[in-house]
Amino acid sequence: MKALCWQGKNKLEVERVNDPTILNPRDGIVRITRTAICGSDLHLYDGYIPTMEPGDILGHEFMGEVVDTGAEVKRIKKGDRVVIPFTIACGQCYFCKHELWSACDNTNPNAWMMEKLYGYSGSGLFGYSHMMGGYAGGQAQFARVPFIDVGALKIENGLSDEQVLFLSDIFPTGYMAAENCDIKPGDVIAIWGCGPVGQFTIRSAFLLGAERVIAIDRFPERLKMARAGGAEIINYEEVDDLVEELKWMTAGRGPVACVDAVGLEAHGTGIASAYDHAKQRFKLSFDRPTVLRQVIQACAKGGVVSLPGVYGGVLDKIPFGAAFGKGLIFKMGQTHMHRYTSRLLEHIQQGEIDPSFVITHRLSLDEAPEAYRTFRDKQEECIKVVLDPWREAAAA
Amino acid sequence: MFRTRVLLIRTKKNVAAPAHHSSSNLNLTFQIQTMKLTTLGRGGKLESEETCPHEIYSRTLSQSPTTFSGEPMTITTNAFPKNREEEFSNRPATSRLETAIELAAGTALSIYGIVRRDWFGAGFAAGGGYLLYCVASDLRRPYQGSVRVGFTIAKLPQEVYEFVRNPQNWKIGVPGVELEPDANGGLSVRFGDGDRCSLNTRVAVTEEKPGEYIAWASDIHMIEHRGVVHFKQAPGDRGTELSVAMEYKAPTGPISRSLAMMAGFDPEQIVREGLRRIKQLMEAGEIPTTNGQPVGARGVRGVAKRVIFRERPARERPAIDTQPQRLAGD
Repeated sequence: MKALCWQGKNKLEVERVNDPTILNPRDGIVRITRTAICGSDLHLYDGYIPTMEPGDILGHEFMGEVVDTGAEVKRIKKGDRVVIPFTIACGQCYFCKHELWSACDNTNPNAWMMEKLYGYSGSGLFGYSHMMGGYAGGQAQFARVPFIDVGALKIENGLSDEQVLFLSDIFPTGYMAAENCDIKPGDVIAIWGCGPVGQFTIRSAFLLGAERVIAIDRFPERLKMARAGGAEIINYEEVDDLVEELKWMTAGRGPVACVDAVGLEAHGTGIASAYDHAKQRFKLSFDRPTVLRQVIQACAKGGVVSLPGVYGGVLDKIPFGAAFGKGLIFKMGQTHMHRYTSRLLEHIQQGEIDPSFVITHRLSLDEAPEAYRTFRDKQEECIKVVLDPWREAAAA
Repeated sequence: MFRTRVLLIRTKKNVAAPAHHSSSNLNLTFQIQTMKLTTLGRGGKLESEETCPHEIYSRTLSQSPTTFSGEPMTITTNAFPKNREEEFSNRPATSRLETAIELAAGTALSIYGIVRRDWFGAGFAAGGGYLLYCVASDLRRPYQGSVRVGFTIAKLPQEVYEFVRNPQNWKIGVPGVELEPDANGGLSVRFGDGDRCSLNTRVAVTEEKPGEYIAWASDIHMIEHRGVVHFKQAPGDRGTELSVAMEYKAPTGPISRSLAMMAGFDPEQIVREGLRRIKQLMEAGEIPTTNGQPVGARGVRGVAKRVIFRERPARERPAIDTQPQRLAGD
């Protein structure tokens, strides 16, 4: 089969590799019909996530048709159309039973690596470094899905691939970010970053009853999409002081919840941002926590800081005095995917949201290496890339 | 004509199950705090079967009105007969810093002494040489250590006990382990990759209480080890706390120990990954793996690292990993 392989920093290749096979009794094999490039894939592309190896197959947002199942697979049958959540969960451990699916004890074959770095290991993820399990990802024609009974979301009606594909990561991730904000009537939510996750956070916040949402970015096309979703917008390059601007917009109260949908590759402006860039360049740090600093500073007293954006290592110059002084609540982590998939499918079926609005580019798998660059550099007004792994095969 | 040796195990470190600080005021600590008496006959030949028991650990409780009588509980294990007299150095362990300082100072003094080329120089060189000798002898010093690992498994203590008690299941915990019952009711255990290096040891269960603990000890053979596997009902319906406390001695210094660790013979790693595999198999019904999945061109660096990540082509996977296990599910 064809698969997109990581070959080093900024170096991706579409290679011919073996087809995946059933390795464990609860595995399933999926013929991928649609897959997407996630913002967090860019952290791999730019080489900021440790324990990547040349040859690793990328991709954790995919869906398709089940073509094979292991001996112990009961719920999912061959021929089922499924969306695969990017976190792998066993469904039997304490964490799975308590709805903390991304903290599953039993799905990371390289748990010792993550334990060395983080103390404890979370669940395995598709195509996201060996530390997170080293599972081959879904930017390929086929993928092996461990514990397919637990994770796979069956799509049994007429919804198109593009409408349900984002249930594999960004829609639930945006939704959990909004749910973490603990929204009450009258709440004003501020969201940094209007990439795909930010867009879904905006819409989820309204679904959950937010009064106003303020979206912050610098790219006109992303701000436009945010405004289309009902948010008020700030181009941070055009304001002197973001915190003051937010204070002004909320008559001094400040946003009661601030969402950092940017993560470790924040751009930002000014000296602090230059300092972060320099540190990252010299490999002194994996992260550029510019946005994290801003959300802490901007958040209202007793408010919530919700972090769907990914951070990898040790951060510095975090205004923790401000966080303590205002009594902030921090909520973060890999999305507990399995908690949200069927709930959000309902929303799509009811017609309350059509997730395909976020797609700007529809390409083939062969074009993926270029698509990564376009997406990373925000060229061609790129917001979300969806790949069809079989386009060439169909054309031939 | 009995000669009695007393070996004081110096470690006072807590070695067994994790201490509890629960709301019920129950404060359990487990310690190796003991002494081992071995009675040897003339020429080191064993004459008394009745080797003195050593406590492998005792339980100290501060308050426990219900569960325990208040008496410290001890589990005794009778070690296999000793047939060798070598004991561990009683010298306290040298820290890495000390070794580094000794090495640096020894080298500097020796070189300075040799360069001087006079009687004072000879003195310096001799002093430096002595420091280097100390470093070298430190590096050859046998090693003893302890391992404390615990996992919580979402199963009943009896189930976990039965699983662990079956030696056939050890193959799941430690891949490549081979077992053979011997005449004394013990077990011959061999593990390692076979082609690289392997380790033989004889193990006997010295004391056990079904569903609560199993204590074992090995004879002296390369690596001597003994310990206790403990099974305890976890609080709040969390299943079973499975913990292993063991101590081991190996006739190696830091260098060969590092080499052994690189070859996968780190006792702590073996125990931790073994318990993890047992947990994974009991809870999820399978052990997660990526061995045999498709992968792109690895490149030189990738191939080197594949060894570290221990990836193997699909056909080399042990059969036990791929057989369906009917353990999961309630």
